[in-house]
Amino acid sequence: MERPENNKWLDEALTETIGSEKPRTDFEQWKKQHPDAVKMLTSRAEKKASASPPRLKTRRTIMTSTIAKLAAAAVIAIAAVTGIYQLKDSKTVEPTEIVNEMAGPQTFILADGSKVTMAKGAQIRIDYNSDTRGFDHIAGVVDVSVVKGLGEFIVTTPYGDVKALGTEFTLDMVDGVTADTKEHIQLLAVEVTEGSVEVSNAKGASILKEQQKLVVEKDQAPYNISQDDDVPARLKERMNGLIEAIRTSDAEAYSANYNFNYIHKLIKGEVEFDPNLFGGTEEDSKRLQENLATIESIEALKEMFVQSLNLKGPTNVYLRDIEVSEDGKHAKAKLVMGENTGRMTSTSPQWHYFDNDWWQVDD
Amino acid sequence: MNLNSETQLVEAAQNGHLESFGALYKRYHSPMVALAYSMLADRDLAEDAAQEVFAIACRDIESLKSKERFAAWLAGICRNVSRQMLRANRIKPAALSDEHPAQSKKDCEDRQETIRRAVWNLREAERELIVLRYFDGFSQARISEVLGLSPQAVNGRLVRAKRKIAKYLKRNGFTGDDHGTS
Repeated sequence: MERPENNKWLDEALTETIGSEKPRTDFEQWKKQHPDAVKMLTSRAEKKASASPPRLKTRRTIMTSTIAKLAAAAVIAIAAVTGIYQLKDSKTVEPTEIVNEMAGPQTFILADGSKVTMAKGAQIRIDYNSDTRGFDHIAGVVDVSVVKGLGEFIVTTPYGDVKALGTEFTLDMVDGVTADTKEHIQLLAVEVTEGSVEVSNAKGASILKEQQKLVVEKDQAPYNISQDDDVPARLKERMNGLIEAIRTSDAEAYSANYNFNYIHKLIKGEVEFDPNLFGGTEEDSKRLQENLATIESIEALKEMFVQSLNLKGPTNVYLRDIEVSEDGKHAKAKLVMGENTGRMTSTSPQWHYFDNDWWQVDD
Repeated sequence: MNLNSETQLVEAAQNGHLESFGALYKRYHSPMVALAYSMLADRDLAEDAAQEVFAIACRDIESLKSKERFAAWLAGICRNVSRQMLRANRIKPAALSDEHPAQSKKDCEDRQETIRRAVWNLREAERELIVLRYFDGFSQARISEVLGLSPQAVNGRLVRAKRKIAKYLKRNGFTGDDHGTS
């Protein structure tokens, strides 16, 4: 046999076998068959034409308050914690021939029809050569709606893999330093809207069901508070109540976590100072008594508290490092608050069980 | 390859210029059908896959950062779409089937079937090259553009792939004499 590269018969045989003379769909036909794709492309010309100049970045202030700080205030002003934080610089990874990296804000339809909505600051990477549906999550908030019935769908992240089957979920990759406490926060938050997902890494795995949330931090096992039996159910409600109040800027809901009956008694000198029940120091409690000596009622105290709050609704609020004391009556955690754009602050709320309920005693 | 011309087409398409996308379509539609065919071994499915590839490209071209890598980006989409079609349709390319080992074809008169089997027994990367070369008779330079490989790499891989095919055919009793043109 001759050298194949010089072999005419082989060329002819291959052309005869593989060659195609079938007429191809021309572009006009293709356009008619794909009106949505065409519309999506042509709409960009309209957007470009009407695009406004790029907006300057605005900074929002996240303010939280504490009863302890209430005491320190000269009037009723509750000290504000102002957090200004800048996310890490976006990574720029040059796509290889089979990898495409994208940044939000945009909605992207994957080849299988699954939808990925990236918030501003979000980044994902798609490997078109992968045998598995899914993508790499690099940064920011990403909503995912997975098409059912096409096999497993896996989102890989630096902190673990998120496996879904026909479901909707939101991912938030947090990697940055808090403005106030200067902590380096590295975590992935997962929230399931529909169906369920499995989050796993080398440290462990957790199944996340509908309406549940999970946080997985770097080099730690995924943590699903819903499945943590060490955290009492009522305390979970309190914790979720705090998160939702901040998320929705609901000052009434926020204040509902505090025992104003006890605080009022403390102000009036009807109960002794107890560091477990009052988040501040004894000096804080004395200042509170001095400053609010004339407060008329529990309702008036609560109203002052509500009015003093300035919740501006950071987009993302996550609890981490939750600890419950051995006697099961005290709990503390770290609360991370941030926006998609990257500003982030952290507080350390505590809860105590007294007066037949769990109450937030400090944030 | 007129790189400037192509990057300009891509940029125009990213800005919503449909005619530019049409020019890219005309340039790359056949290679995408061939590429899909190399994976699916079915001409109709390959055509469907190419249609879908351009639908995805049309929707997502704005996200392509490296305009000069449009062809490689498109090829990546094509491979992904083809794989998903294989999975969704549970297709196993006939030529890869183990139900009829090649040895049993020694006496088979269907020479084309044996050649197909030889091609689909190649590694995916080699099969892509062979199919692109013979599906529409693309030049090595054109294949080089589409797959983002150097012309030397394309030539070397093609030679190796053809050697494997020739070896396979010889093992199964086919030589140039059978074809009558050697």
